[in-house]
Amino acid sequence: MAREKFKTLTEQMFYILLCLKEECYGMDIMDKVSALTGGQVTVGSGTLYNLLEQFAEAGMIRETEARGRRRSYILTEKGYEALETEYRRLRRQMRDYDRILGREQEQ
Amino acid sequence: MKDTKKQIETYTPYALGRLEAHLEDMAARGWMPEKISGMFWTYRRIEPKKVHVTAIYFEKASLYAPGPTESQMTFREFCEHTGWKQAASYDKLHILYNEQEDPLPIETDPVTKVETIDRAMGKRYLPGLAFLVLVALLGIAQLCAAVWIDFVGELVRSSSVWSCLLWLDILVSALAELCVYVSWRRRARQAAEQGIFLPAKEHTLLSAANSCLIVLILAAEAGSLISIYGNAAAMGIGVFIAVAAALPILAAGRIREYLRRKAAGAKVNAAVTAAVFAVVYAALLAAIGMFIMRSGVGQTKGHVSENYEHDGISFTAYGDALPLTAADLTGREMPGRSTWWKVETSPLLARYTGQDKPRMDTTEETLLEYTVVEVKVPALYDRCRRALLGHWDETADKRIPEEYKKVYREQDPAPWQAKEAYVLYDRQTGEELSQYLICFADRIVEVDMSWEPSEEQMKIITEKLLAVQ
Repeated sequence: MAREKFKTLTEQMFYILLCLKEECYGMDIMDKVSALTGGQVTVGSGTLYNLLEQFAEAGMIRETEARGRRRSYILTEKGYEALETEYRRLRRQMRDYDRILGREQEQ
Repeated sequence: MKDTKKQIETYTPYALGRLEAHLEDMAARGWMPEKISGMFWTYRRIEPKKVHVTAIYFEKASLYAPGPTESQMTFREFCEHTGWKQAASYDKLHILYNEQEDPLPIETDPVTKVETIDRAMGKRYLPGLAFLVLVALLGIAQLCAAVWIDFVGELVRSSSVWSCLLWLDILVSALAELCVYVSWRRRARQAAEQGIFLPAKEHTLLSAANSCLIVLILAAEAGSLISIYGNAAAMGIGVFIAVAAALPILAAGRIREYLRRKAAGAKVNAAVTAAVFAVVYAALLAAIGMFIMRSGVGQTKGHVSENYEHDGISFTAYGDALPLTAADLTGREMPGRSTWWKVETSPLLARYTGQDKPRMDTTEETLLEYTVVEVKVPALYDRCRRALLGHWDETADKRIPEEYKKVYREQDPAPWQAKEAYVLYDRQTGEELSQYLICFADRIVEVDMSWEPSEEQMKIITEKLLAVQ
């Protein structure tokens, strides 16, 4: 079954939102995500463009500045909540992992 | 050496992998798409090189916008940032290439990629398929209604049979495409949840087979037109159909491009283009109607005719050869006759109609008319028999009082050497009319004559009409 929109975040959604904790030019996010993850996560231009549009539409980010076609964005309260929810989900997964496999490894 | 070339490209709109590989191959051979449309693509010559090509949909692009929109330009800048340059675009489809050895793909998130494709399909492809389904259903419904009204008359027209096959083919293939797409979308969404993009498979062999089938049906349709109307008229009809199909699309395309060049707004452009399409289409329909009325196309070929006047009124006398004439039955010479013969045939039925009438300028009154229906598919025999029984019989006609009705009465089929025989009976006069329905193994014959035939004449009628081919 398809996910409810932005209820859970893909890796790339997560990192784009994370980068927008501080105001950032849309295009620069591609480089920022790559640098932040040491090249582990990369965001393609089409994916970034579409996600920025969808995040803005969903009120998770807002436009702060537009110089010609260069637009800057920043995370909104709703965006923080989405990140927080995803963070808790990942933490829960990690706890479950530790509970099941971590203890086994210790033994 | 030419620097541009045109090529027809076909692709499944949501499965662009094969198209991308083909475009990479073209670039390696020194050709890059420059201008693209639905099917006809123009390539420009380039230095042969290895490039990566990607075909993607950009939702905010419009076929009617005067140029690239702001969002399109922004999107292009995003793509250029990772080395992707635009080669060509048409409507929402964009072709981009990248000369880097291992470039970052434009779409890296399977969830977003599937959503983007789905939104693009929702704008054009799916409504297009739904439209095809609707048109095919309307076509089939119209044919069913025609068959319901005149079972034999419709099934004997081969064009009806081929049209029915064509509509069925369009309906089945459009529904199959819809199912395949919906199934791929479901699986692709599931795979995307696992971080995998599931490319759609192209059913190229199936599509090619279907195209061949459509071409065969159209060829059969053309063949039936030629057999009915003759080469010249059929060619005229064919040219008209081709023009009628192409001209509104071409005219709308031209006006759309003109308005784009003149920087008209997207909404104005879309409205004017739609209006031009409708006007050209209506004008063509009117022109076709006038052409048919004036040229006589649509009338069956092959009649030998002579116009004559009698009491100041014009009449037409025909001189077709008949397999059975009134003279064959009466054994006497009958000058001044008009004889008319028509053959209609389809893969299901054949119908042979003969009329032997006296000219109006003679005193002769002997009349003979007959129709032979040959049932080529045995399963249709009983339905044909019932349809023909209802042809002259007025039992089901509620407008006529019961006592005035003409109805079929079964009679002894032995003199006709048939399985069944019926004669029309007039309840008002209490007389049997000389109108018969005679059922043979694979033929049903209607005979209408101006006298009651003797057993010997019945034998001749049977012999001659069973030999008709």
